Amino acid sequence: MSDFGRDCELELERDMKRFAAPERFADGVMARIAASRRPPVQVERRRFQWGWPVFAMAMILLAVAVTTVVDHQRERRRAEAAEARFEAAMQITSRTLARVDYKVSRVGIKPSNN
Amino acid sequence: MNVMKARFPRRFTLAVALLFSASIAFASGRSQVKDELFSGAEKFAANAKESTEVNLDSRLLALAGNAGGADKQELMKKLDFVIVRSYEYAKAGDYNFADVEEFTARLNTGGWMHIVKERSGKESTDVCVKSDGDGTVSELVVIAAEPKELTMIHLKGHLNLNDLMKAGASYGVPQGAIPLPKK
Repeated sequence: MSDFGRDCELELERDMKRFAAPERFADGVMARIAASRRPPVQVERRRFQWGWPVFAMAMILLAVAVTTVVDHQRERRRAEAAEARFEAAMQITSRTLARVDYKVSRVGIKPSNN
Repeated sequence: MNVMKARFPRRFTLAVALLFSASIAFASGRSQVKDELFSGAEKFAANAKESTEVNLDSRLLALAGNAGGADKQELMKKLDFVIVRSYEYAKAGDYNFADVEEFTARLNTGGWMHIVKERSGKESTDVCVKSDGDGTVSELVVIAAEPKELTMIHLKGHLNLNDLMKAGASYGVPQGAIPLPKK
């Protein structure tokens, strides 16, 4: 090997010699990595909330059911009251017509067309 | 998300409120029939010992028609309305007899046919009908005034007087009580 070659080899050996990193070098690198890192993106998951619609539907169905039952009971009471009033009306009508009949027959009025 | 959560109960409340409002409006939409012939008759109730006021429209008659015998049901189906005002008084003079004339005078117009018109002292009887011309009676009015009793009846429908007599027999209406008009 020539002198030039030996020098090159020595120089190369010297340059490639492993040497320790400066003190706290690794900490500094890690600190810079941590500083440059972006905060994680918060992905907002828009899941449909079933709670309120189900509750609302249940309440509406309940309201309809209650209204129907109450209305049915009210209708039945009204029917009974209407029937009683109709009975009363017809009894008054029959009584009145009986009196008219009696008066007409008493005075001998013949029904006229005017 | 929070906005949606905050809004939904309001929508729900609105929906329920609308539902109840609709049912209330439906219920309150039922009104009684108004009768112009007997409009103002309430004054006769002022001194009455007993008063009976019946006001049944076709809807109430249909409701009432679910009960009762076949004759009554048939009669209720044929009637559009039944209005009865009956007042009983403790003594004569508790109502102004002249006021009755105001009501009987209304029967002089409007196409009413007087079947019975009787006057004697402090008593009067008026029976009037409106006929469809085919033997059916569309309206019947009876105003009977006595010293201690006043009765006003107004029936409207599409009934044959024979039907009324037939159905009325169960209430004690005497046969022939209503003089049938000649066709």
